[in-house]
Amino acid sequence: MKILRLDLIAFGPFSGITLDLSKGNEGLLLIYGPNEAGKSSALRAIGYLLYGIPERCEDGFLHPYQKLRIGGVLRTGGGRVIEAIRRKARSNALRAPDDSPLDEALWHEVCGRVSCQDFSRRFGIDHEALVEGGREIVNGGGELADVLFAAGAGVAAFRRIEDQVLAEANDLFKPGGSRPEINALLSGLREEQGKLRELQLPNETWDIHFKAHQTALSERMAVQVEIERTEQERNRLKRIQNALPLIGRRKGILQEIADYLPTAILPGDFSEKRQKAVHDLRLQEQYADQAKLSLTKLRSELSELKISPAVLNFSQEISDLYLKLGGHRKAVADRPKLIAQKKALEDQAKELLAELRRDYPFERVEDLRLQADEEVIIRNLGAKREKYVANLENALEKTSELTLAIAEITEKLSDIAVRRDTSGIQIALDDAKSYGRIEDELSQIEIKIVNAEKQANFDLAGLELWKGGLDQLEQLQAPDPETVDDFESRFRETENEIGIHTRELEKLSREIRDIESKVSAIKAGDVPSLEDLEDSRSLRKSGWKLIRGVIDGVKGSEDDERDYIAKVSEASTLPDAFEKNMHVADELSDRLRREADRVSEYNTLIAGRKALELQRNEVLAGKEQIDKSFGGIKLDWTNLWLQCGISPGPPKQMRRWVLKRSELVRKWAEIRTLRSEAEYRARKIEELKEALEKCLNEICHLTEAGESLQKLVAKTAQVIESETRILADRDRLENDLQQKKHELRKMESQGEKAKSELETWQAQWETAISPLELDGQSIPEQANAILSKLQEIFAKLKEAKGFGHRVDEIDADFETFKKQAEDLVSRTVPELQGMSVEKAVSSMNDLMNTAKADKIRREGLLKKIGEEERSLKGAYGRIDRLRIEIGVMLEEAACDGIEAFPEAERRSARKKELIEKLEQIEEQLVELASGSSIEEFSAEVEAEDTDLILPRLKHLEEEIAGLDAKKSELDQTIGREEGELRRMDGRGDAAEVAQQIQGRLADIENKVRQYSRLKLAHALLLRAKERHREMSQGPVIKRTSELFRALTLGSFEGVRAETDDSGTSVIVGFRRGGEETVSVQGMSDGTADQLYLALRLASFEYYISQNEPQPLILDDILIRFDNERAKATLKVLAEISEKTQVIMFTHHRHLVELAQSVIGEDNLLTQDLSAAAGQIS
Amino acid sequence: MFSFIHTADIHLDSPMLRLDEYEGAPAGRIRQATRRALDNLVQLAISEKVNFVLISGDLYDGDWKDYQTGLFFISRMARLAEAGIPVYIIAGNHDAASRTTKSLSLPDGVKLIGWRSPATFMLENIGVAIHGQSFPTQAVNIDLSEKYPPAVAGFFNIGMLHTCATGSSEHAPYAPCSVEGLKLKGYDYWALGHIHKHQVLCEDPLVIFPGNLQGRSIKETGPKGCVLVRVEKDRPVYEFHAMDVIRWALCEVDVTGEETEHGFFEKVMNSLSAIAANTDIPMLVRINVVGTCPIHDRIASDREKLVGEIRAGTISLYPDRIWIEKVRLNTAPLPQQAPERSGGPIELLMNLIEEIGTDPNELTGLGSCLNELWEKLPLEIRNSEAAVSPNDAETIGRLLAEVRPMLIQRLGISK
Repeated sequence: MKILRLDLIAFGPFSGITLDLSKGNEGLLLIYGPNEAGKSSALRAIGYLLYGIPERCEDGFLHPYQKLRIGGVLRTGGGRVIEAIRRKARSNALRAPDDSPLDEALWHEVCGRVSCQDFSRRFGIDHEALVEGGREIVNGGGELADVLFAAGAGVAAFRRIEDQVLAEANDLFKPGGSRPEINALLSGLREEQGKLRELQLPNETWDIHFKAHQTALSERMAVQVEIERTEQERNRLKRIQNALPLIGRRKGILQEIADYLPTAILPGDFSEKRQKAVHDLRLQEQYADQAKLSLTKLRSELSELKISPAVLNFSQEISDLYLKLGGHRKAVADRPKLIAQKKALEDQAKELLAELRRDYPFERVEDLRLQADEEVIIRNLGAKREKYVANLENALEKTSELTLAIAEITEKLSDIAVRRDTSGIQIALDDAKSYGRIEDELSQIEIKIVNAEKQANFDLAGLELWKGGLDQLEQLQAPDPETVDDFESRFRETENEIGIHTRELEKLSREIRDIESKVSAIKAGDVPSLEDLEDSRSLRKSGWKLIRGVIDGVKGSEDDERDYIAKVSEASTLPDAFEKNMHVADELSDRLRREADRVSEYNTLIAGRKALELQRNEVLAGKEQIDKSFGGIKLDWTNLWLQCGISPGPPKQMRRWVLKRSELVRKWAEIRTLRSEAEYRARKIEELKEALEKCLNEICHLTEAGESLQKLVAKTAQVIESETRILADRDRLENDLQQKKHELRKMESQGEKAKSELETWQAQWETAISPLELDGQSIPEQANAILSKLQEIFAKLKEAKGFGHRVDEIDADFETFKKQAEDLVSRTVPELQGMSVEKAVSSMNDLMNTAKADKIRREGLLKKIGEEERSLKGAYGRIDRLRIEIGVMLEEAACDGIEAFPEAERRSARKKELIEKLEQIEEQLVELASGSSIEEFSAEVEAEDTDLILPRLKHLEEEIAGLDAKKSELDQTIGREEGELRRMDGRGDAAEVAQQIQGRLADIENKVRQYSRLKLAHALLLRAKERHREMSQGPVIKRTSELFRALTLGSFEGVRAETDDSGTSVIVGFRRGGEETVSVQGMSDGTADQLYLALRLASFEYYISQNEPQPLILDDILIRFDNERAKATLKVLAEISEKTQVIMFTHHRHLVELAQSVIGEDNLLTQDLSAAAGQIS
Repeated sequence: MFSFIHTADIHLDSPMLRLDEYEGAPAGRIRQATRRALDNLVQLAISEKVNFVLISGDLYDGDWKDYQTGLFFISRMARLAEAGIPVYIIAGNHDAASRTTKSLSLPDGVKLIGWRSPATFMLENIGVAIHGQSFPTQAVNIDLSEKYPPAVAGFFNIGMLHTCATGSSEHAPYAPCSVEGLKLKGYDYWALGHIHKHQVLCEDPLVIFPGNLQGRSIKETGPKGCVLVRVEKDRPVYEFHAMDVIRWALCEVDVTGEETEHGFFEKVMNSLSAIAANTDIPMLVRINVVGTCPIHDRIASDREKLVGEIRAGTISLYPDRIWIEKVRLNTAPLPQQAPERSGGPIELLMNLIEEIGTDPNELTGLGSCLNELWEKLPLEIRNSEAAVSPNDAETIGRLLAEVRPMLIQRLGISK
C-alpha cells in the first residue's frame, strides 16, 4: 500500500493542507518541520487516517473535534486507488469524497488488514524506540532470539517483558527457595499440619489417662486403709502410755477411802444451816418477852376514855344548820340595797314616758304596749315603700327612651332603595364559571397546535426518501415492520453466508500463503526444485536442439538462438550458453540428490498448495451462487418499495423509516384532534359572553363591547355582591324596629303595674300606724322612732319588778332557819334552850366536834392491843419449829449434842474430796479405755510390756509418715490425670486448625494457578522466539549485516550469530575479515542504536518480501547520528524506498540538505511543514 | 401424639472446604460451624419436647482423628439425656471408618444400634418400633434393609438406614436400596442418611433424607438441617428445620456484552445484593462470572486485582454477612472478527498458542515447565479438583486460554 496523498483538511494546526506523496517509484518523503510546526500532528494524522481518530485526541485545539478532517488517497498493491476522508465520529467516520459513508472493512483491507497497533509498532520507528531498542540489545547481551523477536515485532522491551514474567513467577515459587510465596505457604502448611497432629487427641491418649486416673484412685484408697490401721495401733499404744500413772494414783485413793467407811457424807451446806438454826432460836426467845410488856401498858390507857352518844347521833343535822347560819347572815346584810335599786329604775321609766307624752299618766302606761305582730306589720310596710316608688319612676323613663329610638329607625328605613332580583344573573355566572379557564385552555391548545405542526413538519423534512406532505404520507401504503424484519433477516442470513464463504476463502488463502512462506523459506536457502531442474533441462534440451541443428547443419532461427543465450546468464555464444546451461542442470541434479529431504518437503508443500487452491476454487463457486441469490433478494426489496414510489435503503434503515413514518402519522392525527378541540372552545366562549352581557344589561349595568369572558365573569360577580350587601342592611334595620316596638309595649305595662302597687301600700300603711296615734302621711321613719322609745320604757319596768321579788324571798328564808334551830337544840342539848338562835347553833357545833375526836382515839388503842397479841403467838410457834430442826441435824451427823457438830463436819469433807479425785482419774481412764471398761482396760495396760511401748510407737510413726508420702504422691497423680482429662473436654482447637489448613490450601491453589499462568506464558515466549529465530535468522541476519556495515560506514564489516560461553546464540559485530569480533556490550550507545535500526530495517524488508508492502514511517531517528552516518542511513532508506514508501519526519533542516546531496532528485520528495504552518498564519 | 427429630450426616468438626481466606473475611462466622449446628439441633429437640431423636449415620468424618470431637458429641447427647430425650444412632460409612465411634462410651439413653444384624427397639409407652443396623465396615455394598424385620403390628414402625438409595453421583454407592423394596417392609417412616441433600423419596410411607446439618462446601448449597416429624393417629407430618449457622450459595453473574469494568463490578454487586437480601444468616458465596463480553481480555489479564476489588466491595457492603469463597472468572472473548494479518513474531506467537491448544501432546509438553512445582505440592493439592497437573492436557489447555490475553496485554499489542 502506498499513501499517494495526505490531506490535512482540518487537523492540529493545519487547515486545507495537501501533501503529495506520489513521487518516485515508491518514494522517500522527507517531511521537515521545526518545533511547533505540527510535525507530530502530521505524523499522527497518517495513523488516524488509516485507523480512525481516537476518542481522546490532542489535535482539536484549532478545529473543534466534530470538524476534524483528514483526507487521503491510497494505492493498493494491486494498483487500486481509493480516496477517503476521515472524521472524528463514533460511526460512519470514514467518508468518500462525495461524503457517502465508506465501508471500514474495505478500508481495512486496503490497509493490508494490519491492526492500528501493529502498524505503528512495526512500520513506525521513532527516536525513543531506537534508543530503547539499542539499550535492550546491550542489556540482554545481544541474545539472538530476543533481538530478532524485538525487532520483528517492534516490541523494543521484549526482553524486559519476558524477564518480568519470569521474575513474577519466581516471586511465587522457586524449587529450592523458601521466601517465594508458594514456598512459604507450603512450609506454613506443614507447620499447621504438625500443629493439627499435636492438637488432635488420639483415642489411646484418652484411654491411658483415664486408666491412670482410675488406678491412682484405687491405690490411694488402699493406702488410706493402711494408714488408718497403723494409726489405730499407734493411738492404742499412746493411750496405754497415758493411762499408766493414772492407774497408780487410783489405787492409793481407793485405800484411803476405806478408812472413812462409817463416816456420813454431809451435804455441802450442812454447817451453814446448822449455825443459822441455833442463832434463830435464841433471837425468837427475846421477841416473846418484849411483847408481854407492851400489852399490859395499852390495856390501862383504854380504860380511861368517856364519850356522849346524843351529840354524835345528830352530828349531820348540827353541821348542816351551822353551814346555813353563814347564808342567813349575808341575806340580812343585802336586803336594804335591793330596795333602793328598785326605786331608781321606776324613776327612769317615768322620765322616758314624759319624753314621749308629757302629760300621759304613768299608771296607764300599759295601755301603750302594742301586740307583737302589730309592730312587725308597721316595720315591714315601712321597708317596702321605697321599692314601689322606684319601680314607677324607672318604667316612665324607659318608655320615653324607646319612643325616641323608634322614630330614628323609621326615618333610616325610608332612605333605603327598593330590592332587585339577581337570581337570573347568578345562573348565567355559574354556567360561565363551570367552564373554568376556558380561554387559557384555548390559547394553550393553540400553542400546542403550532408546536406540533412545527415538529411534524420538521420530522417530515427529516424523513428521507419522501417529499410529499403529511396527508399524503398518511394515505401511503407502506410495508409493515414485520415485512421489513423478514427482509432484514433474509439479508442478514445471506450476508452471513457470504461472510462464511469469505472467511473460508481468507482461511484458505492464508493457508496457501503459509505454505508459500514455507516454500519461500526453503527457497531462501536456495533449494532447487524439480521444476527448476525440469526448467533447466528443458532449456538445455532447447539449447541442444539448436546445437544439434548447427551440427546437423540445420541451423535454427537467429531469434531462437538469441533468446536461448539471453535465458542463460553471463553467456555470449551458443556453445558457451549450452555449456553453462549443462553445468547448471548437472549442478541442480546433484543438489537435488544431496538435498533430497528438503526437496521432498518442498514438493509436499507445493502439492498441498495445489489441493488448497482447488478447495479455494470450490468455495469461490459457492460464493458466486450466494451472491446471485443476494441480488434476487435485493430486487424483491426494491420492488416492494417501488409501489409507494420509494427507492429503499437497507432494511435496517427502512425499518427506522417505517417507524418514523408511523410516528409522523400518529402526530398528524394528534394535530387534528387538537384543532377540533380549539374550535369547540372558541364557540363556547362566545355563547357564554352573550348570556352574561344580556343579564347585566337587564339590571342597568351596561357592558363595553369586546370585553373578555374572564372580565365579564368578574364584573358580574361584583354586581351580585353589591346587590346582596344592600339587601342585608335593610333586613337588619327592619328587625331592629320590630325589636324596639316590642320593648316599648312591655315598658308601658310595667308603669301601670307600679302605680297600682303604690296605692295599695298607702291604704295598708294608714291602718297599721293608727295605734301610734300618727296621721296617714307620716313616713315610716317617724313610726320607727316611737316604737323604739316604747321598747326602752317597758324594759326598765321589767327590771324594777325583779328587785322587788328578791326582798320578799329573803324574809321567808329567815323564818324557816329559826324554827329548825330551836327544834334541834331541844332534842340534843336542852341546856342550851333560851340562848339566841345564832349562839345556840354555834355551841352545839363545838360539842359535836369534841365527841368525834375521842371516838377516834379509842379505836387506835384497840388496834394496837390486837397486833401485840398476834406477835407474841408467832414467836412461840417459831421457837418450837427450830428446836425440832436442830434435833434432826444431831441425828444426821450422829452427834450427841450441839458441841459435837464441828468434828463430824470435817470428816465428811475429807471423804467427799477423795471420792471426787477418784472420779476424775476414772473419767480419764474411761476416755483412754476407748470403749472398754476400766477394769478391762487396766488389765490390758498391765498385760502390756511397758518398756517396749516407746520403741514401738516410734516405729509406727515412721510407718505412718511413709504411708502419708505415698498418699500425697498418689494425690498428685490423680490431680495431674484429672487435669489431663479436663483438657479432654471436647474442645474444638484441632477442628479450627483444620479449618485454617483449608484456607491455606485454597490460598496455595490460587497462587499455583497464578504461577502456572506466568510459567506457561514464559514457556510460550521462549518457544515463540526460538521458532521465530529459526525461521528468520538466515535472511534477517544476512541483511542486518549489510545494513550495519553501511550504517557504521564500514567501521564494522557486519554482524553474525555466535554461540557464547553459556551456549546461547548471540549477535556480535565483526571487523577485519571476521578476525575481530565485538560483543554488543562492547559497542557505543550510537552503534547499538544503529544495530537496532539495522535489525528493524532488515526485519521490515523481510516482512515486505513476504507480505504486501506497507509504508515505513520514521520519526526523527537520526538525532544522535553524525552527518556521515546520517547520509549513509538516508542512502539505505532511499534503497528501501525502491520497494516501499518511506516517510521520514524530522525537525532538522540540514537533514533535508544531506538527503538532497546523496539521493537522486526523482526519488526524493521533501515537504516543509513550516511553509504549511505559514499558510495557516 | 408424639414427635421426633430425624437427622443424619452431622460430620462433626469437618471443615469448610477450600475457603479463600482474606483480610476482612468474617472468620468468626465459620468457627466450629458444625458444632453450633449440632447445638441448634439439641436446642430444637428440647424446646419442641420431642419423644426421641434419630441420627441416621455419619456423626464424624471417617479420617478425622480427634477424640475431642467425640467428647463434644457426648456432652451434647448428655444434654438430651438430661432432658429425657432418648437418641438412636446407626453408624454410617464414615462412622465405620472412625475409631472414635468405636471407643466412645455413650451416656444412658443414647443407643448406637449394632452392626451384626438389624435390631429393633420398642417404645411401648408411645407405640413405636425403631429398626436399624449400623455399617460394620466403611464399604457396604449390599442392601441392608432386606434383612430388616417385618413391621410390628399395632406399632408405628421406623426404619433407620444409611444408604445411597438408588444412587447419586456425588456420594459413594453404599448400601443401595430401592423405594419399592423399602415399601415392602410395611414401615411407617424410613429415616435415611448418607445423601447430603434434603429430599423426600416417597410420601407414603415417608422415605426421607434430611440432608446434612451444616453445608461444608460449594457442593452443599442452600439451607441445611433436620426433619421434625409429628405423628398423630399414626399419621406422620414432617417439616424441615434449618439448623445451619452459615450457608453456601453459588452466585452466577452473567456479564454478556459488558464493556466496562464499572459495569462488570456493578453486575457482580447486584447479584450479591440479591443473595444478601434473601437470607437471615451469613453466607459463603462463590461467584461464577460467565458470558461473552468485550472486557474478557481485560478481566483475564488481571484476575487477582478484580478478585481483590470484589472482596473489598463485599467487605464494605456486607461486613460479617458475606464471605466470598472464591471468584471464578469464566468469561469468554467475543468471537474473532476477520483475522488480523500482523505477520511476524506476534502472529507466530498467537499461532503457536492456537497450535498447542489443540494438541494434547503439545499441551502436556508445555505443561512440563510446571513439573518442579507439582513435585513439591502435597497430596491435598494434587488430588484436588482445582489441581494444575502438568500432565493433564485439558487443564493446561484451560490455563492457556487465560495466558493468551495476559500476553497480549503485557506485550502491549492489544487491539
